[in-house]
Amino acid sequence: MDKLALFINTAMLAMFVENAIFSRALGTSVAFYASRKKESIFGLGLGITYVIVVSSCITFFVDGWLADWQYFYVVMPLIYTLIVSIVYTGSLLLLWRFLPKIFRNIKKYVHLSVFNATVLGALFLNTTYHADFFSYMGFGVGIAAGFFIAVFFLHVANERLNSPLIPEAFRGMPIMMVFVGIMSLAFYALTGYNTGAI
Amino acid sequence: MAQAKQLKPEMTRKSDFKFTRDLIDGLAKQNVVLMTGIVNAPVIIAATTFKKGVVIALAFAIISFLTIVTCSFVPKKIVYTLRVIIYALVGSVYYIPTVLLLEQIFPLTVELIGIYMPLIITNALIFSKTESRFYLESKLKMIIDVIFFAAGFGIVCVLTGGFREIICFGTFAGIQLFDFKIAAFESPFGGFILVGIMAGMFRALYNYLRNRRIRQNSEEHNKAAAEQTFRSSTESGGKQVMIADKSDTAKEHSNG
Repeated sequence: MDKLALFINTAMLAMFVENAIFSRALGTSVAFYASRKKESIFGLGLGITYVIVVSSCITFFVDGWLADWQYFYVVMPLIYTLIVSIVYTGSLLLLWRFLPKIFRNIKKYVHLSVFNATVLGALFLNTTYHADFFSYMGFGVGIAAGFFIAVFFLHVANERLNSPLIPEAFRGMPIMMVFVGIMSLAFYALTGYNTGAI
Repeated sequence: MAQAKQLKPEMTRKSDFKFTRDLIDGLAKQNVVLMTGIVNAPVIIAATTFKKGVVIALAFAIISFLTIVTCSFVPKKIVYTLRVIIYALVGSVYYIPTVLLLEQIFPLTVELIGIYMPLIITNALIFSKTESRFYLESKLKMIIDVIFFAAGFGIVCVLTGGFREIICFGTFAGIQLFDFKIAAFESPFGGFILVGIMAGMFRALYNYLRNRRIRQNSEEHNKAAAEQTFRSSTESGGKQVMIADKSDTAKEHSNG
């Protein structure tokens, strides 16, 4: 029961306090891209969740073996990229063998949900916190869920942010950034942040 | 025939090589932070001081350039779904000497940048721009193009870092300037809002300059066209007058 509580706590922490987009700006460009279509949000969200959770399982053991090595932080990206690549290739092979229709549909864009800053960033953050297995899992799920929530917010605001009411130069990416900034400020309030003005 | 059709776009891209256009493309028209927004996490979160901006810009330039050039030799026969793995692995291999080198020059700064340093290996210049732009060009053009794209990112990153250092800490490159501080711009929300406003202003300026150039070009074109029409009309008018004169003299001669 304690483990489950730990899992949920870490997931909540990763979702709201360490939100992938609003607090860390991990995979912002992918989020902007995915927010245009409703189908992309679910597809990308699912892909990212799967890759982060499976890769976190493996990195937990790798971290256990190599964390004390002096140069681990230098080779860490290479090791993690290798792990993510193995998960990616294995999953694609399984899909190609058992679900060829889905494989054909996703093969053009599947790399977007694997090789992005959200996945690697989640793995790097997991390592810096030196937590136990359930925290690793919880953090992975939380980061992916946080990404999903952020993209959903962006999707909801997308139409209004691209309206003719916005000055032409700010339409699209610039106003989206400002919107994310305001949302980020709201998320920061959850941690009790104040600008020192009050 | 099919082969010729496949080669055609590449040939046209290779043939219309213009140095100035490429320079502007990477620096301004397709700036990866302010115009397309495909690489922005390091600028928004990590570039909070001038020094950090410089380190991120250098790491980005070295890793992206070496990875893109090396991966251009990867056979295109391998499907992109699998080729992308090679790109990621090559990027993370180049990360090792880059970070060790930068650590020698800026020991503390690299540590302060944290996870945003290794995240450079997953930048969109390597994963997206390679397929949509760089690998469609000739090798020389690709190298120049990558340099200017990296420079475009670097300039924005350093300027953002410097500006944030001034308004957040009242210092520039560690030198105390004044006591006025707005600490909020150091945080991610400050970074998002600042980069968003910078992007909007940059786009507005770019559009203004582009429209002005188009207007000037069209005015010049119209003027040249008008001059040409006037010249051709006067020349043909002169010829007609000459012909008329000749016919008149002929008539006079016949009458005489």
